[in-house]
Amino acid sequence: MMRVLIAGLLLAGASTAALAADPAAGEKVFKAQCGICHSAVKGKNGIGPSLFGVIGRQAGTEPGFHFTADHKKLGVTWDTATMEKYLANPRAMVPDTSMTYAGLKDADKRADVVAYLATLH
Amino acid sequence: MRSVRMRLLGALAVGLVSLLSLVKPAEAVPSFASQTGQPCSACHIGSFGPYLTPFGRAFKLSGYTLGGGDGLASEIPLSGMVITSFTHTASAQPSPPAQGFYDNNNPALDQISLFLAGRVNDYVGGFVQGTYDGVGRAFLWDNTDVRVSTPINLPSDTNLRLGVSFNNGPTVQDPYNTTYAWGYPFASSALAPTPTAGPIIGALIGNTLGMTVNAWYDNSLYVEIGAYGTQSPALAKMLGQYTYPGTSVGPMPYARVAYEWDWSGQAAEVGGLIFNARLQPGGIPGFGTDGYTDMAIDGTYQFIGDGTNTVSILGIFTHEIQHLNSSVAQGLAGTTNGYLNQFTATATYFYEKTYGINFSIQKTSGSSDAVLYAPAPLTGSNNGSPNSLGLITELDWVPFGKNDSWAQPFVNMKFGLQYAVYPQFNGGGSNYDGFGRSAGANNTLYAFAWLAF
Repeated sequence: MMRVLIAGLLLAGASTAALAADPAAGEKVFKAQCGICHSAVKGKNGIGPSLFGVIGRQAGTEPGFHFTADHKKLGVTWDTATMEKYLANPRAMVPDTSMTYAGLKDADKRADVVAYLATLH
Repeated sequence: MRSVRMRLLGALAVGLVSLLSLVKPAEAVPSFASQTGQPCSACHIGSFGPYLTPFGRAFKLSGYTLGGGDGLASEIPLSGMVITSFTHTASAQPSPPAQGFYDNNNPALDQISLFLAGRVNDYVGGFVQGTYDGVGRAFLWDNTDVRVSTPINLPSDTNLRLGVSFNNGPTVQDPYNTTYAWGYPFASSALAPTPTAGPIIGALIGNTLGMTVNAWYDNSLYVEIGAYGTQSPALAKMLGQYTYPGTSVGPMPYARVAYEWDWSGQAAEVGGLIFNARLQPGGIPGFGTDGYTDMAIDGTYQFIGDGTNTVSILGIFTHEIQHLNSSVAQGLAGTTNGYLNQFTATATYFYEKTYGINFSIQKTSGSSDAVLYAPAPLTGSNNGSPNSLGLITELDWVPFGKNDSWAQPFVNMKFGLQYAVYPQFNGGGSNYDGFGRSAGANNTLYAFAWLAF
């Protein structure tokens, strides 16, 4: 019962964080941390793939970028939930990822970044 | 005696860099790995500094501010480094190269360094290196680069980052390994002779103070301008800088442009830089100044792929224009107007980020000057020429530094076996120094073990 209650509180917390996610704040985090490797411009790959349109895209399919095997076989279409999970600990979800980033530990900032990514269409 | 001293001053004045090998920069900073939560291999070709990957360059250009690591270790900006070595030259040197060493076959504790290296906040980061030089047996203030960096919001969503660097030598702040502070060889013997002449810009690393501002546009175009001044002779001495070409007169301007492409696990760069210096040789006033203008073009190609096979090529050509008015007035040089060209190119292959091989060509040529490049045992020139050719082959083994390595990211090691061949040394092949020594006598075997923690 207690576990259910805790899980319920966590879900509520996550939901609240998602609702409160701020794309403008996420853009700042993106430019400070993600932007050194990723662009938000369509088709502009760099050290990492362009993140324009990443929410709604199948993982490992950005044209012109060389993805690792685990990325290609991940089999997910990025949505806010999977992207949040990935950003929390990229290597846990994609063991051979070439993304040299340990993860964004702050849940609020993570939600903000994902909210910003969702605007890139 | 006076003549010998004058020649020594003259050698220092025109940026001779044989002594520079004593303070060859070296960097391997596990505290950055702790801070970012990344293995050394994320930022470094061959899993060991200072050779930067595209991500390593991005980390540097973002002011060393990227986080991501966990725990207390990620908050402690301290690292250390130890290099030990064995040096063998084809023929013994006329006298031991440093106090307490032999004329050949020298084991050495090259250096012990401590780094204060890490991020302060999202906008400020850097590193300060202090070194005990085990050959010169002295402490010195080593490489330092403290950066302020911030992303700028552009309406177009294109990335722009502006930054400022405070550092102690031109190119210490440069993100590319083509240039002088972080160029190949990344480790070299302090006990073996090396060709005498080199561009002045390389001799001003460590004994100057500088500030540069930079812009990094679209993660591709890097533009930087700034200026340097030499430390006062007293300050340089206090900080352990025994390479001191002279005292600058006025600011020494520096400008750098580079453009980088990154695509599908590959990177390429083309760039150039220009640097101007006016120096009083040896810090002696009353004879005017020596003027130098260094202009260089450089290029980089890196194939990173999935990290199984990594190929990297570095190249830089430097042209230096010299106006040695002060040196001529002091009797240190025979000709006022001269030039120096230097070309270096290095190819590196690593397998599994662990086993590496390097080939490098280092070619120097320039105008002759029988006073500036006078005959002297080992270090002189019999024909007044600075021309030299060095060919270096190096095998590397880096057992740690990967994502799944033991004690990652706190400990890393590199073992290297390097052999340098000199078909030409200070203007000649045989009797190059006027005292019967051949260039090949300086061929050097250098075995080293490099620990970073």
